[in-house]
Amino acid sequence: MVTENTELLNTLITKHGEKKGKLIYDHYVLITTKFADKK
Amino acid sequence: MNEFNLPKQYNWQKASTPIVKKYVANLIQSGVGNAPTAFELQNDTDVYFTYEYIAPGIYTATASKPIFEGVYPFENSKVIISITNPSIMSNFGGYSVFVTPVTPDTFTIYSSNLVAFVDDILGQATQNTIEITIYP
Repeated sequence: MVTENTELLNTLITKHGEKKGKLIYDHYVLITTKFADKK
Repeated sequence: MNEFNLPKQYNWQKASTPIVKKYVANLIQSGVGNAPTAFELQNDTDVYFTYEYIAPGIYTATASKPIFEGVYPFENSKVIISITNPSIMSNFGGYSVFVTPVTPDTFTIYSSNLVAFVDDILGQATQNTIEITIYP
């Protein structure tokens, strides 16, 4: 289970805008979930 | 006109030889929270890249114009990006630095100890070398 990281999401939205920021965040969640599943 | 149909540059090239374009740079982060600085070694892509620090182990790079093309399943992908990180040679434990495309002009750089993205300074403060190859 990956904890929601609103600070990261807000940073991404600030730097890349809402659409791209959310997309990068979704990728981050996807990858960190895979890391978490591996443990 | 296709921008890659350029006149030959060398005698061994055919006029129709597609020209592969390449960007190579050393990528160094000077301190925690700073964006990595790129020292270009070669760039004939006519594209410039802006790097940003997002969080420990997470960075983004934005190209001055789109470099990724295509739609799912990306059968026509013509861009290769790789980053070589020598941290394991410096006894920092060895970090994996890898990239994921996000949009046609943006990719994310992750620096991981293969457990999580916990790297305060990209590649554990070692000099990373990034290569972006664009095939026509």
